[in-house]
Amino acid sequence: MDLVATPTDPNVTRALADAAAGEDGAAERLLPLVYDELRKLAMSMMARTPPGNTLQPTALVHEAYLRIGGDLDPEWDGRRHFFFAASRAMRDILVEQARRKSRLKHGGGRKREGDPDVVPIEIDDPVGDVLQLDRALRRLETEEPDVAHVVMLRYFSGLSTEETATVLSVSDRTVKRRWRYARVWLQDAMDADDADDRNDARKDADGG
Amino acid sequence: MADDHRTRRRQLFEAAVDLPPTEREAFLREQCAGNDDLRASVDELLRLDDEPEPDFLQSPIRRAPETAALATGDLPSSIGRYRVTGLIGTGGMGVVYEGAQKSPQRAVAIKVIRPELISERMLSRFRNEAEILGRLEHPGIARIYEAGTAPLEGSTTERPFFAMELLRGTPLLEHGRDLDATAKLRLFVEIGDAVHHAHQKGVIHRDLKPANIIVIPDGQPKILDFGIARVTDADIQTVTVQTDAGQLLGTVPYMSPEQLLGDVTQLDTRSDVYSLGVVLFELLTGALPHEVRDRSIPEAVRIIHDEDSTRLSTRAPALRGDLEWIVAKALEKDVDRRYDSASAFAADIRRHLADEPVLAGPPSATYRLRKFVRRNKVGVAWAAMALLLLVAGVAATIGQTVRATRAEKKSVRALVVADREADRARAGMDFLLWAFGHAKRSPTGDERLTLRETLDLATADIGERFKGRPEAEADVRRLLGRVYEEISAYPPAREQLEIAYELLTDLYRDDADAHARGLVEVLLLLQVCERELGHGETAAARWYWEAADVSQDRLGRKDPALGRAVGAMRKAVIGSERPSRELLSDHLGRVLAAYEVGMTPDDPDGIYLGFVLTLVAQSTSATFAEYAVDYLRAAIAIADRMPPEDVRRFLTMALWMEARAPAPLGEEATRVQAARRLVARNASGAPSLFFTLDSRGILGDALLQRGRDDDRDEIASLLIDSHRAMREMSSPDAVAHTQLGPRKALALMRLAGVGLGHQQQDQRVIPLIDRADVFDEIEAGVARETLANVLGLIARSMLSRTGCSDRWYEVGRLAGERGIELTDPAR
Repeated sequence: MDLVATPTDPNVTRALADAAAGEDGAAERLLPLVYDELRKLAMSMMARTPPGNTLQPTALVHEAYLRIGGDLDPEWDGRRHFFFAASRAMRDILVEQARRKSRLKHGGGRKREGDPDVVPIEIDDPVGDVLQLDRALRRLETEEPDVAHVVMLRYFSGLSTEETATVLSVSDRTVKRRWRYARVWLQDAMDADDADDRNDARKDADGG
Repeated sequence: MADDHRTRRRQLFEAAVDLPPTEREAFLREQCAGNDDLRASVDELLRLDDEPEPDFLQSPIRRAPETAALATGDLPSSIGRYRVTGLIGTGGMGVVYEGAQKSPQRAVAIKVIRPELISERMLSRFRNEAEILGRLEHPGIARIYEAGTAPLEGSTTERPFFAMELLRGTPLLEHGRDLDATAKLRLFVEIGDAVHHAHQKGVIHRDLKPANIIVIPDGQPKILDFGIARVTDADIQTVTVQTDAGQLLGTVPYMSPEQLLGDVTQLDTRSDVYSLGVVLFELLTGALPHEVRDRSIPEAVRIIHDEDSTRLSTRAPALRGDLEWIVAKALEKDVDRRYDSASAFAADIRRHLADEPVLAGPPSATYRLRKFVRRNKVGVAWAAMALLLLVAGVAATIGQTVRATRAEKKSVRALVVADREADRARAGMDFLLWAFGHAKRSPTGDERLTLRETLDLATADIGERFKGRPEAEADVRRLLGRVYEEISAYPPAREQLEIAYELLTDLYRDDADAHARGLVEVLLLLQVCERELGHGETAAARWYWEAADVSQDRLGRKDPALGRAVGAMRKAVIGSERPSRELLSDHLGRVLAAYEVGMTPDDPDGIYLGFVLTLVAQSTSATFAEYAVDYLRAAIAIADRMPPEDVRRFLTMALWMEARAPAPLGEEATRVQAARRLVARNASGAPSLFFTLDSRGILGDALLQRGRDDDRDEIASLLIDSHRAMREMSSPDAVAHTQLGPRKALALMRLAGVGLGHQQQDQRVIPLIDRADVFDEIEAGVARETLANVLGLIARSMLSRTGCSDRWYEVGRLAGERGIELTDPAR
């Protein structure tokens, strides 16, 4: 009976070590593992949360980090990889959730109870912001990857300015500056996206 | 080319935002000369930058459904005479918009009350009080400019709204994160003064909570929403009408008990004093005095109303003393015992900051008792019964339903008292109440049940009662295991503890922080059970090493270096080769050094290190006893620096072990010291009957080993007491004591050892032991191995004296006849 905190798949630890060592493809291998960990965590946390309450992505990611043993060694080089993978996973989860919601709204199939693939994170996304944000973020990633990194870590892993700075090995000021730019950039991109949607809708209406 | 544009655009934006708005124009004109596209796109970014933080970048946390619907609707263009410029947020009482007033020209926050909160009564009060609120003028209070009504766009219904000073700042708790305790107190005093100002103008806040207090950049705290709850009764409605858990979350923990009862006429300024007390508690510790966030509303109300609040020092041991009493006085459930004003509260904190004596002080024991009586008098019948049990310690008087021996009563009382001090007080009391309520409804109609029978009855349907609530079930089973263990009923104790263990193992895996302590306690109790059931060291070892695993895990999370040091120490101890004393003391030194570095001395998590050291001592005591004492002393030294309630069980265990362990030559006095502390602890509320009964005998042993002749009288008294207690346990009503026999025998033999092992036999002792059935009593109670141990003990104490009674040589002869080899555990 081993109660010492090794609730994590040993694969995660190995992949993290590989990622830290800069091995090719390790970061990609890490993603599904972290994803899995987050999903399991979300399930178990949800089971302990009274109905109607919400999981905070931040809490999830931090708990996953603790479980993976991130805090056992503050110098651990895998933390950057972990938080990127976690942000990536959290983004996928939220996007998937938002898609499901929008399908439901448009008369798609109801989600099955206890569907193992459904991560029970309630998101506040009545208007599809997350999907829009995801689209905009994808553009930002190609155009300004350094800015996109800040958004990933702050928004999807819920890291503070200081934590983000540590993970990226840049100054707090740099993070703040990139965040400020990200805000306006994304807002701008999403406004443009909205305009496109309206144009599409008009075209649809014209066509019908 | 496109890349160039992008790069330039970002560069220019980042340069321009850092410039004062007046200089931007010139800068951009120069930089963008001839490139209108670039200029337009940078301008667009700057415009967006001026807008409030866009909603989409807030962490994606779900809002309550109705407020979400409100929030996402289109912004009204105006409310009353204010132009709406943005949405600030939504809260329990409604939506808050950002707005602009023309004359005087200023930015305002406009709070529009939710339609559900509006009633005729509310509207009339709203009209009456609007003016008073406008008169509140204090630097610590956000001004309310206007309270009016206006129709929202697209509707003709008048909606009440407040126009308030628009403030930008940091929420109190977030601001407090970087402050030390003194700075927090100074800040809090200002908040208290502001509240007092409003009270003098006749306005009660009624919804004071950290979310309603912000600190603006110059460091001034500002209280928001003063008097709004009074106008809207939003607080009362939270409890009585609303069921929205999200809202409860933010409000109920800060409400005073009288407020939770929903009686508006009972409310006065002292309700705010209570809320301020909660705010201060959270500001200082980050925790709430009543953790009710996960509870249903009725349960939260019950807890805040009935249960003692957590003591400040439990969460922040460094704040023991004055501050603890100050917070406790603010959190008094009885309004008459609270500070009678916010300024009195603030003044006491000022006195504390100036190191002057404070008004608040620890409540007297009689007061606590009275408080308990008062709280429970109104309860249902079974609460009254439990009250009797607690107050009088008289289980037998509870409607004559429970008969128990004196020792049992004592242990139950000790348990109740001790458990009330612990975090899990709720589960403990609930269980006892429930168990005794259960006894009353005995299906056989037999009104006379023993404590043991009561417990057995209560145990029967636990699984059913707590279905789907593993945390509660684990709590209750852990407690049951403990009660059974206290009364030495080990088989059922073990049964309960094993189930609790399985539940907790799962819970621990999900939430190590919340369940580590519970799990460790269960594991420790399990190892006591194994030992008491005579299953031997190996069976017991399984549990205590697991307890050590959990403890090491906790330590590692706290401080990785400490975790590793403890791991290395354990590895050395359980290794196949017997380590040298040098190696062991080297390891111990490393562990203690890592502890000094990684933890504050009074860190409550030190308890885990105490456990590990005690357990290492325990596991080594059989093989290399002489080293074990070092570990025990380290454990005791650590325990002595921690809050007493945290270390209750393991400190007793460590003292018990040190008192029993053979002291290194010349250090016998330390053993006596440990034994005396053990006896004193047990006199003031034993954690276990087991330790209680043994402690006086152990002190007697320790004194014997020290070997001073003038101790003889004390030794005799101790052993006589110990022996009497043992014999009393044999009343026919007693619970099943599987291992009582050996202890009785041990007490008897110790007694005989001292009473007869001297030339002048003790006249008090002779009649106690010079009885025909004495040998039978010993032999009946003693398993073979134990007999060998106790005989060895006696033999040792006798050998140092002359003229031992022939009778005790007889014991040795009897042992020999039965093939029992006398071993001396002390050798």
